[in-house]
This record gives sequence, structure tokens and C-alpha cells, in this order.
Amino acid sequence: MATANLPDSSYLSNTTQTAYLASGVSNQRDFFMEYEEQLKWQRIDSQMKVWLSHPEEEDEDGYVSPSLVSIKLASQLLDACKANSLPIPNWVVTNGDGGIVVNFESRDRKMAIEFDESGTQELRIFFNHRLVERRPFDFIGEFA
Amino acid sequence: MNNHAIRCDDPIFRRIPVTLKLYRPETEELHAQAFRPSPRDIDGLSVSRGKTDHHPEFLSLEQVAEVGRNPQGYFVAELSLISLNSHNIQVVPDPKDDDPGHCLIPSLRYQKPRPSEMLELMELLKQLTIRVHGPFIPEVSADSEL
Repeated sequence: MATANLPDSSYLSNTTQTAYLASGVSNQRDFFMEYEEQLKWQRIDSQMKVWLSHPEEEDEDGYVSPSLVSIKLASQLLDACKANSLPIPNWVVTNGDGGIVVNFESRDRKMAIEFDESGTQELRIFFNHRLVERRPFDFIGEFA
Repeated sequence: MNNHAIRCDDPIFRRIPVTLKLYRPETEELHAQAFRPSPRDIDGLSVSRGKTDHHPEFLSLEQVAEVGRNPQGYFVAELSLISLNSHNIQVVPDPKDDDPGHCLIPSLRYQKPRPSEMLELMELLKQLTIRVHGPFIPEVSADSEL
């Protein structure tokens, strides 16, 4: 990761921190973080465009690409994430059955929001591999 | 049991189509959807026992990938039967002409809606994956270029 080796300036004294900020290293970190976020969004947006151009196509292994309904709903969720500066999903993948799974992960916890081919939404929360919560989901209601 | 009896030290391979983007080689991250049964997996999730000294007729990593028909190729996830057994995950032989070591995981057969146990099992298999090999991309034959 481009930002991994850049130092955290929060422990520095005020004087040193001023010099540190003046050096531009902090700005450099902001730049890298912003660049990294842009790359993540580009990867997600690019994948959505690929699905949009080939919806509901079955591949050689029997997996079906996302339907237009699931693409539309997942796009709305992703747009809401962007508009509200919410975390960038770690994964946006096909469920192989005409739907899309959006994952937000943090260490040993994972939240998965699945839009199936007909638009039905489900929220799942895992702790390690254990499913600790599973319920119908309405992201418009959740974000309102 | 016949000569296809499963030994505990057998490696277990699972093909993952490159096109699904469920594995990131740069960070070695794997998504649990790699273990989701497709609508064709009505009897269980397809996996393969790997080639060993005891079963030289079974396929190597590369050969398991080659059996797949996706022209974009496959990653191959490697698991160990010992670890599957230790979690009481049943693996049953289902030999095919082109893959004599082909097996099924019956608890991951295609179902809608998917039971919670299946979702947990997919997550568990991701955690039990030892490593992911590849990508193995088929060479374009001279005929197909014409």
C-alpha cells in the first residue's frame, strides 16, 4: 500500500508537527489516500459497467451475471456511499445467480448486502465465519 | 470403499473462474463467493482431489484448471481434506471421464433461498483455503486464431 510507510504525525510536538506539515509529507499522505480511494471506486465502477453491458449472461460454468434490477439497486447503494462519504466497499461481486453482493469488511467482521436478481435485498453480518445477523434489508430506508 | 476411497492427506482443489474476480493475487484476498454453488451444482459443490503418489491418475493443479471451459482461465484454490474432515465437511467421490478425482461437497448443493448453514460454510471454506494458485489461462490454439 502506498500509504503504509508514511509516518503518523499525531505524536509529534506542535513545533515538530508544524515543520512536518510544512514539509508536505502530510499532504502527500492525503494525496495517496485520495488516489487509493479513487482507484478503488474506479475498479468498482468499471465492474458495474461490464455487468451493465452484459446482464444476465450465463458463463461456461453456469454462473449468471447480474440482472439489470440488481445492477440498478447496487448502483444506488454505491452512489449513496459516495454521496455520504461512507466507507468504500471492500468487494462488489456477482452472486453467480443474477445478483450482486456488496461487502464491507473490518478485521474479523464482515457485512454483506446482497441484491438478488429480482431486487430482493438481504443484510448479513459475519463474525469470522459465523453468521450473527441475517435480515431483509431496504437500504433506502436505512439511509433515509 | 473402492479404489476411489478418499485419503485424509488428499489435496482438494476448487476452480475459480478468473472472470468472476473473486481472488486478488496482489493482496491474496479471496471472496467466499468462490465456494458458492452455481445453478448446475444440484448435487453439491464441485471440487477435485489432487494428484498424489497414491492417486497418480488424478489431476494436477494445472490440469484441474484446464478441465474448465472458461476461455479466460481459472485460479485454483487449494484446501486439505484433513481440515475439511476436522470440520465435519463431507466430500464424496464423483469421478468424471475428464477428472477421475472429481468430488462433491453435498452440503453445498444449489438451493434458493440459501440456508444460513450454507453461507457459513462458504465463509469457512474461504478460511480453510491454504493458498490460491494461478491464474491458469488456456493457450490460444492456432485454429482459434484463424
